[in-house]
Amino acid sequence: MESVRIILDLLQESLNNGNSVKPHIFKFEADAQRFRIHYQIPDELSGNYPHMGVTAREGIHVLYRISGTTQWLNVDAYTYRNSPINVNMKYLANDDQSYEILIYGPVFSEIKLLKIEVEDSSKITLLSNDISNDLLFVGGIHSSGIGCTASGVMFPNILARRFDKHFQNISFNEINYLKTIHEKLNSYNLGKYDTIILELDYIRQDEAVFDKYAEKVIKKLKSRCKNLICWYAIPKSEEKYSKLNEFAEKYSKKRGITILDLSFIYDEEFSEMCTHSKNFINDTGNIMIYKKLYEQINQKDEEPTKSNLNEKLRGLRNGIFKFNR
Amino acid sequence: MEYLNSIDDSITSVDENNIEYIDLFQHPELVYGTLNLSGEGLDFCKYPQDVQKEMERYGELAVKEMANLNSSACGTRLRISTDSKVLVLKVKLKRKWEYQKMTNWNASGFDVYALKNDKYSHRTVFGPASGYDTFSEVINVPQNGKLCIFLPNYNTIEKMHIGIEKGSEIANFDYPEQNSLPVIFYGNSVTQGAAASRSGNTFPNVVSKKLNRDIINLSCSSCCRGTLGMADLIGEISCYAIVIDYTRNAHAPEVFIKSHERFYKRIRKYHPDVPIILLTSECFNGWSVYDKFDEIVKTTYANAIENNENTFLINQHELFSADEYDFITIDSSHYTDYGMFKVADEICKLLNKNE
Repeated sequence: MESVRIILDLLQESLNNGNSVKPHIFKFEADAQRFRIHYQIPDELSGNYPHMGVTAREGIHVLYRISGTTQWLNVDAYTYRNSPINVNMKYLANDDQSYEILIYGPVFSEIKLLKIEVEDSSKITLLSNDISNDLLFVGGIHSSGIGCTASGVMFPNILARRFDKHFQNISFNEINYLKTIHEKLNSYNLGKYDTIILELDYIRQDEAVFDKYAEKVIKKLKSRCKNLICWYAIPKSEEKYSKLNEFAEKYSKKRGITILDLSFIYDEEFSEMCTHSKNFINDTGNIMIYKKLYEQINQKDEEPTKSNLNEKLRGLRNGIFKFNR
Repeated sequence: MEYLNSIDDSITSVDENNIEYIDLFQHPELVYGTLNLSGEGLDFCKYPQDVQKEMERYGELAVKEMANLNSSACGTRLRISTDSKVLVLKVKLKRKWEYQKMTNWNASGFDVYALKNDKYSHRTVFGPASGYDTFSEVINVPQNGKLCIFLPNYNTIEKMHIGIEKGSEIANFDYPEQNSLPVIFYGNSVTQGAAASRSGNTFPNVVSKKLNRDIINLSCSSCCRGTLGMADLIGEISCYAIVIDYTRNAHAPEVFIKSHERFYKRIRKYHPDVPIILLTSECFNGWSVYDKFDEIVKTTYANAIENNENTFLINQHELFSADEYDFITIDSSHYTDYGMFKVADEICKLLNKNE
């Protein structure tokens, strides 16, 4: 790039705006045919992650859309090893078009540096990445993006793109995460939300932890939102699965609480495509969870009609429990 | 999994006094999807020297990738029948570092299935963490003793020992006779399998599982150039069908228009009746140059149809709705499993229809 350039410090701007929630999301608008991303993390992570892409753990995932349109499309996923990253937009946007760039930060790593460089004849503007209170994600291993190749494929991030908003995701990469949620939730200074989505259980979570904390966490979260959607995905052959169904029954008459059984991703028809193993879902598992949650959220305000009743019955046949009304 | 310094190290997870090992490289019959070009033992390299040399015309990247990946185990499978209750695999891989945009359970992964009545049932997947290249794993064998293990798509197996209980036997487990002719896949990094979540979930491997049929995957990242040497190689392999996923690596429409139909016709000469499936480009981020590539593929297809050839077209864009484009791939082209399975389904549909 030529010597005259504009540098936009995305990390600093984001922190100045009080947005320090993880996973980090950054947005800007530009019209440059090329831009350069300078990206660093403090330290390389050690650990055993053969089921995750390094781009998800330590990298960034970059998407774009032409200004004024709604559809996000992938640019690429990178790690700090690519930095400085030269992004050529010439083939994606016409000369007279501006575009928006959306950058997802890594699932695990902190970010030490994230700056965008363009030539000074170009326009570049920071876009708001304020967190919306429409939705909040709370969860464990799956909601954290474990098993993904790139962070943009995590179901919370796909869902946020569909609503064109940014949502906070309070998730813990821990087996017994319900205990941690219960203990740490108060430290998050939560507001009031329209909907909270809770990952209710994980195959390896201790039953004693579930028994002790599930109801407490549900109660706590329900006090913070109009609609609480709890979901779980457990292989149906597991003893835990029937216990969860019994648990779900208890909430069948509670107004504003929906419990979704998304265990179909472990059924023979889907498990090949959606899971690495019983313990981990993959990118496609995330896509399927996104699809079901999107359906659910879009249904919640519908008046009952013959056609959506039929849709709901179909949902039940597909293994989705809907107990919210 | 135990990490080892050498493949000859002893391990602690089984009593090795009760295990006897064979050297996989002395048993090429156990591995499916190779060409064994050297004619001596097992050889994972699927590209003769003259085909490798063709890459010199396409610049440094193509030469480098061919050198790096020519012996990757992409699309190959161990198919085993044994009365041993456990299998012990000791493996030395060429590469110890992970790739970007890929899990190690794909690039360096061993994806293990039990086989019963032509059906595949997933048992486990394993692969080393980044930074390791030598390791062992113990696999419990299903009651009927039949296993299919999809091998790493982006790594080379340099050494591999298979251990079975002393006194037990191990043999290859053939495909049913009517499924033994392979489907040949020729393509780029996508077809080689980048970004599938595990090694069994690339679309060529999914086709193999769904049809319980042998395949040969001749795809090599950055090296899919539609060369005549490669066409001749494909021409010489007796096969059930051919899937040509040649678009992106051509780089420019001016290059592609000269090579796509020429490549197809050269293969067609060798295989006048075999079904050939042409794929349009896998580009899902509005990179408009690939529309031109797709027009060229469609022209090749239209000419083949006019000539009454047994040729099919899969337009990859039409497999998905536009609002899925941000998650069917993790960049402009590399499919998540969601994309891999859609493409595989479409290929299977066409092949089944053609029977």
